[in-house]
Amino acid sequence: MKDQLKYDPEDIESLLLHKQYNELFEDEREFVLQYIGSEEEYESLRKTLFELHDAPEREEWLEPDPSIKTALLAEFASEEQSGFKVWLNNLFAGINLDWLRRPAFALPFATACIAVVLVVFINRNKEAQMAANKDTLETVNQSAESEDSTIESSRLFAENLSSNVLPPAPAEALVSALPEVKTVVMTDEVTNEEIAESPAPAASDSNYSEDLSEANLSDDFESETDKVVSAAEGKESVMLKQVEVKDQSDIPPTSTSTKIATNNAQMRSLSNAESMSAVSIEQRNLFSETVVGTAGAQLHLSDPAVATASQVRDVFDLLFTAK
Amino acid sequence: MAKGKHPYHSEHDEELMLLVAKRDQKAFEVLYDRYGKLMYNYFHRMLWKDKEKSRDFAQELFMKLVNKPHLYDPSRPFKTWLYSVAHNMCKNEYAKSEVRKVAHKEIARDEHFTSGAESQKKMDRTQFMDKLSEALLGLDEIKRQTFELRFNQELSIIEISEIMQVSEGTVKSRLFYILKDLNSKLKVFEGIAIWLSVLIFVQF
Repeated sequence: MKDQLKYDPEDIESLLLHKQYNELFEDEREFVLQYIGSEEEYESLRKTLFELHDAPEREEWLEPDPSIKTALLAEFASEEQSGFKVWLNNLFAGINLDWLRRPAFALPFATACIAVVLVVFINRNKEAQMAANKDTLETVNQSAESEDSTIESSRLFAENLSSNVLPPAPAEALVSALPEVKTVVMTDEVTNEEIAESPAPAASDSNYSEDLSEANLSDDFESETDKVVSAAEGKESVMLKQVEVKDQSDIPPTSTSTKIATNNAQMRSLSNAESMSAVSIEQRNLFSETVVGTAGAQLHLSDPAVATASQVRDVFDLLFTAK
Repeated sequence: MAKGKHPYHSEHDEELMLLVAKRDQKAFEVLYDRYGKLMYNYFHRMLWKDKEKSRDFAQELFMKLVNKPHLYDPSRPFKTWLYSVAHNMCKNEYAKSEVRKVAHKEIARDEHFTSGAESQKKMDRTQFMDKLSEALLGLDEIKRQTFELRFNQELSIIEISEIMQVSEGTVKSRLFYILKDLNSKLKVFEGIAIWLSVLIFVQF
């Protein structure tokens, strides 16, 4: 009885359906009158409620179009043919994944997927870059090895050249190697008679220290020429030794390019030396031939016995001019 | 298991729906036979008695069962879930066609007058229902849906509260105020209603 007295405002419907106004308990009547104005209204509401509950029986129910079912079954059959979708749907068919279908999971999951894709993409780029760097390094190493072999072959070639080819003989060396010019001072004019009468001057005579006979002059020129040649050869041998020293010890262990540059410079100097030595030898021969030939011709034209001091001076002038 | 013309007829709705998720076409047919007519008429009443729209909505509703059976929550009763989907479809349609609502009302009224003129007997029988329909059209969408689910689809208060996602008390309160509102509008036909009740009683 107590339970029947505990009503909620929403329970008026059940009271209307089950009890007439005069059947209500006192508590129920007090409760009903809070929401319904009078007994007449209560009865009117009760009738309307019955009408409404009977309404579906009087309502005309329409039959759905049969084409709806046909279309649905056709759609079902077409979906059934799609094996991938069936497989995908059956994959998690027995598992309740509704807790995953929430925005709170969707956003972090999407972020994680993007992060994974980015990491994989970046690592792929790095790997490709590292592979490219490795290839470049291998290429550089191979080129360095080939350069080293080239330098080695160049060095060997330079050593062979330095042992076989003469070094250059510069013109200054030739000039410095020449003997000092001896001056002849002619004090007085002499006549042919005086010359003939006077005896041959002694070797110790300072004023007239040279024998001007044809044979002596010729020998003197030849000896002087030999001295020049020997002096020049001496200088050349010294320079050759210097070049050899440079070849063997003076090449600093620097970079590959420096080595190559040094080697090339050495090669150029060696080839210059070769050409210079060839040129200097030729010049020397020409010089000696000219001097000897000119002096000889000058001396042959005039009689040594009658050669004057001016003629001798002319010969020496000619000699130095030719030099 | 009762032996019927179809082996699935004795199965519960929830079991049939699980079979539909496994692409069982016969299970889908049984579900459609059970709820096709109900849902079509529900849409027909909720969408201003527009038959074309009701047809489209009913087809769209069952298409969801075909294409997205995983949307069904097996922990919920199938009937409640199906009405929830239909209820949401109607709510979306109300939001879309807020402007067109008046025009639909006019169409519905015209249809009622046309159908009421078919025969005198039918007019007497349906006069109350026509007036009721007109009164219902004057209610807002929520009250109309509550009324439809309660008095036409004959769902329980608990089912309505689950479908509309409100408390049971709210459903009861809404029903009471709907009753008061309709009572004031239908008083004119009170005599007719009594007469109809007597007529039905005499027929039995």
